[in-house]
Amino acid sequence: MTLRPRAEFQTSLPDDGIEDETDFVEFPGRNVTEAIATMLSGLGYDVSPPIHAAEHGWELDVRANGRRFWLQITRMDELNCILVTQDMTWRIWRLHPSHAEFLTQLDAALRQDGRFDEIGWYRNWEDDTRTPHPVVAD
Amino acid sequence: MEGMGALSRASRVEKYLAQGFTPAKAAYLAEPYPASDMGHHFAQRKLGLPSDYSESVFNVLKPKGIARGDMYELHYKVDPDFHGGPLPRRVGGGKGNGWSGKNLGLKKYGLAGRIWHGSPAPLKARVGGLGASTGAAAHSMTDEEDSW
Repeated sequence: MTLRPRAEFQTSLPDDGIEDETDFVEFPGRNVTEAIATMLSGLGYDVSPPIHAAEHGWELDVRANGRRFWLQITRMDELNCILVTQDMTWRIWRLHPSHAEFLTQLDAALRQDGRFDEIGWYRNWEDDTRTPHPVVAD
Repeated sequence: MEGMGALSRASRVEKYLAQGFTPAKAAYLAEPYPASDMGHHFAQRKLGLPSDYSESVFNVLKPKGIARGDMYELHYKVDPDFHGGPLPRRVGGGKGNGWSGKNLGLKKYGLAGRIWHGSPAPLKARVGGLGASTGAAAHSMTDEEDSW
């Protein structure tokens, strides 16, 4: 089984970046991040408020049953977003939900939400083998 | 010195124009990277380290006087989680018009490159090997796939 923890997708949510006369005051993507946070809360996860991470975009800290997952959402332009997830849990033995279970739930929730489409998953930044789901059987 | 600075900025604009950016975007990228911006965090923020260390000069890479576009390139190369991002609407940012390291054909450094090029000068100068070891441990923990 191979995990593909990075996604690219498109969104119909409006560009919500806030700019002054020189630069971004707040980078776009808060609305996308809030939507994902709502999805994950609905799945029973304890989700932080969106964290502004400047040129990185936005982050979420997601916890459940002793597990911690980190999410970064970068709105690249009006349409395209990059989602990075990482299992941040220190552990000796297997805990639930696993990263694979988390990614499968997240993928399903994204696909059920009409504001997101063209969802593809990647192993890492240099992987060009896009797959429709984040967990792939070897 | 002022003339040299202006010349340097003009050459940077040329560089970004050659990368395919419009004149407005090239001029924006040639501006100095704002001191108030986030920079690159050598020990990544997601680790949840105390902000006294995480936001200190020993952890934040933000070379003085670097152009915004050059900082994005450096940040892209040293940070596995930085891909690029949007450009402001005032310079024509919008659909398909963000800054993307991948679209520019840039490559990210491996672990050794990230430690060398991604560590702030004060950390290199004052802490030396201990800092590099700490950074290596932090990077190793958060990146299971890279090797030296």
